[in-house]
Amino acid sequence: MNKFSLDDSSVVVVVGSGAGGGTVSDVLSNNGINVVCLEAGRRLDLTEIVTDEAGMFGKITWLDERQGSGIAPPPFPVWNCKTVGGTTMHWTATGIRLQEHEFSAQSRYGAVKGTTLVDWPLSLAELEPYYSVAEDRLGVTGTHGIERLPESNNYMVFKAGAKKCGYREINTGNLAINSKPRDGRGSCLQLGFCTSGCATGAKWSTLYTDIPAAERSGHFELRPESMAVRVNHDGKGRVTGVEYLDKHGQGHTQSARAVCIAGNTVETTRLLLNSQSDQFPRGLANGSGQVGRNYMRHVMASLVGVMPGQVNQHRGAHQAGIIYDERYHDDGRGFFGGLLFETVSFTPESMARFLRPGSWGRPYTRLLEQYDRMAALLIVGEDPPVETNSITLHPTRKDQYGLPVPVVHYEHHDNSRKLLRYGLDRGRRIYEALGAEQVLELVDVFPATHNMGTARMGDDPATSVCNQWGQTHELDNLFISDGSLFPTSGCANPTLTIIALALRQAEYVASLLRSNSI
Amino acid sequence: MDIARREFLQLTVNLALVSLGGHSVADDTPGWHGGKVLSDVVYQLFPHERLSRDVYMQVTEQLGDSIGQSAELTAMMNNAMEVLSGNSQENWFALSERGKTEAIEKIQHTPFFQFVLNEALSGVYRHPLTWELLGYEGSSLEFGGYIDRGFNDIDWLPD
Ligand SMILES: Cc1cc2nc3c(=O)[nH]c(=O)nc-3n(C[C@H](O)[C@H](O)[C@H](O)COP(=O)(O)OP(=O)(O)OC[C@H]3O[C@@H](n4cnc5c(N)ncnc54)[C@H](O)[C@@H]3O)c2cc1C
Ligand code: SF4
Repeated sequence: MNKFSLDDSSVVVVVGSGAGGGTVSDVLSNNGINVVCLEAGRRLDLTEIVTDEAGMFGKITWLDERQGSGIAPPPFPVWNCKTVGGTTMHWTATGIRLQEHEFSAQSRYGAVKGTTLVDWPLSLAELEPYYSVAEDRLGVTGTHGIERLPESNNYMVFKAGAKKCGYREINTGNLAINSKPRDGRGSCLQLGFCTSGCATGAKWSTLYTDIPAAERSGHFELRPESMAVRVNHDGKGRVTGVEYLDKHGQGHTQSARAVCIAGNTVETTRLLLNSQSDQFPRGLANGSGQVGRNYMRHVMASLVGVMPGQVNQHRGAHQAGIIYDERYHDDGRGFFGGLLFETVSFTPESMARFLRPGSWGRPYTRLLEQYDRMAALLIVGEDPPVETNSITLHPTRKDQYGLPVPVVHYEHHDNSRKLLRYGLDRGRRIYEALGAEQVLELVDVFPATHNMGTARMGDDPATSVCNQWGQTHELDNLFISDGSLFPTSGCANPTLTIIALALRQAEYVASLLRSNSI
Repeated sequence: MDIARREFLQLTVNLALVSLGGHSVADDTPGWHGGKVLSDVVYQLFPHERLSRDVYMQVTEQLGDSIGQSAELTAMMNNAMEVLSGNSQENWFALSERGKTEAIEKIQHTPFFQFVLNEALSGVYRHPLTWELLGYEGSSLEFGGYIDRGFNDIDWLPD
């Protein structure tokens, strides 16, 4: 295992070991570039990943104080992880690509009031090769000849209802979950604990793929329980190192030749804003004032159908299938952008918490007693960028590190309300077509799981933070490597795109380093 | 939502996270009555007739531990008990189910109620006996997963 000294200014510092940071670390180190990865969370031993939802929540979830406003749940606006592997521990592993038109949202949808819709500075064609590599690395089912997962009860209900509604593009999804042993990991046993880390390792997570691969390169040091608090710079438009606190609260500064930040939107924003200086009074790389703005989280809601027979949706992988038919843009629907239906499952506790939040008493427990007959799906829709949806720093409240608490503000745009209504109405028919006794709508109850947009890419430094490589416009050797980069959200779950962008970025960073350009 | 309430919700999240120490509410704490009233309140919140009352008692014990750790929560509980039952066990148990519901409705917008509701929810719905009642089978890792144990056994769907 490598150890790099704090004053070694030849290393690239990567902040975060999740989807983005794990990928960048792996690719750079395996290209012979020395990498130090600072990760705020602990490294779990694989035996610590157990099938106990509440126990795992305490072990891997980001629980430091945050505040939500608007419709973002006040005490817990965002659900992500603080552990080696990041939110690839919680994720349900749907790995799908954006569609071509989603890269040119403004050209396709037009200028829409109240949004900051733009086109991406790169096209699907440019990202395709990286998508393909990403799918291969993750072992995404339904790609590269990898068999899809078998059909589960929850999926079969979903599919049967969807067919009755005339939908055609339905399958068990593109999942970064092994249907057969692959890449040294076993196959899915249908445990149904995907959001608690996967005890079999069938589900892809950087904890047991990219991070060990980086370690084997001989060019990588992981520093867990190391919270980056500030990125330093010189007077010449270059970052010089990262200040962090170790598990004892002791401060250190790791020198760096380049820095890649992949803290997952909220933390990436916070780190940039906290790194303000005389030269960057609004925060590092924030001359445009766009850092922390245009925060997107997808239009998300669930439907729970109380079916005429047993479903037992808890048995098996959470995201066990997708209906793709509604993902296209269609001017005739009265809103722009598309949506996906994906299956989802809930434990009794999460069902009781989200089915009718705040409810109690006998009518509610009677409903919950239908648990074994409940089928559930998730609606994931395109969420337009809105400048006032934002991540900012609380003016006075500090967390245990002494850092200002992040405030996450989110409101639906009108278009999202229309898309949501449409999705709920169409989705409800899926279960009604099979004789559901009732269909419950779970709207505006979930913390965000998909986070995008707060350091958007673009060609114009006045209206964006990074260029198409995720390189900040203002500091040549500072890169953003997570969902913050997305100029618009599309309706696909974001992680495969985060990884494709990270692969493309890592290649670019390696070439800049080799040619001594940074 | 005002700041005080937000902070309170944060507190409930934090409280749910700290591993709870050995303190507990003493039997002679006003309003506690050995937890019988509180336990019945927990039952009224999530009444499952076929669930053993032991589950509610266990959840109440945990609740009592958290309340006992905070002077603020203890004071809030005493207030709540005053509103619910005039601090009398007899009064409370003399109420019909409807009467109990109405009494609880009077406190349902207080931070204390939100705290109790949150704790009761996790306590009741994390309990293995509740899982059994609802048909949730929990971990299957030790049996090799659901892959050969009914993940695809549905038999009532149309062809
Ligand atoms: C329940 C759930 C289900 C999901 N399912 C899917 C899905 O099916 N498909 C999909 O595409 N996406 C899914 N997602 C989203 C997916 O997990 C994220 O998009 C992805 O993990 C983001 O990658 P990232 O690298 O940006 O951040 P993360 O994976 O969250 O990694 C960020 C890491 O940075 C660390 N960090 C943050 N700040 C600092 C700091 N200052 N110093 C040091 N370290 C820091 C964090 O501890 C964390 O480990 C899901 C998310 C959740 C919560
Ligand atoms: S269902 Fe499959 S992917 Fe999910 S936790 Fe179980 S083994 Fe892992």
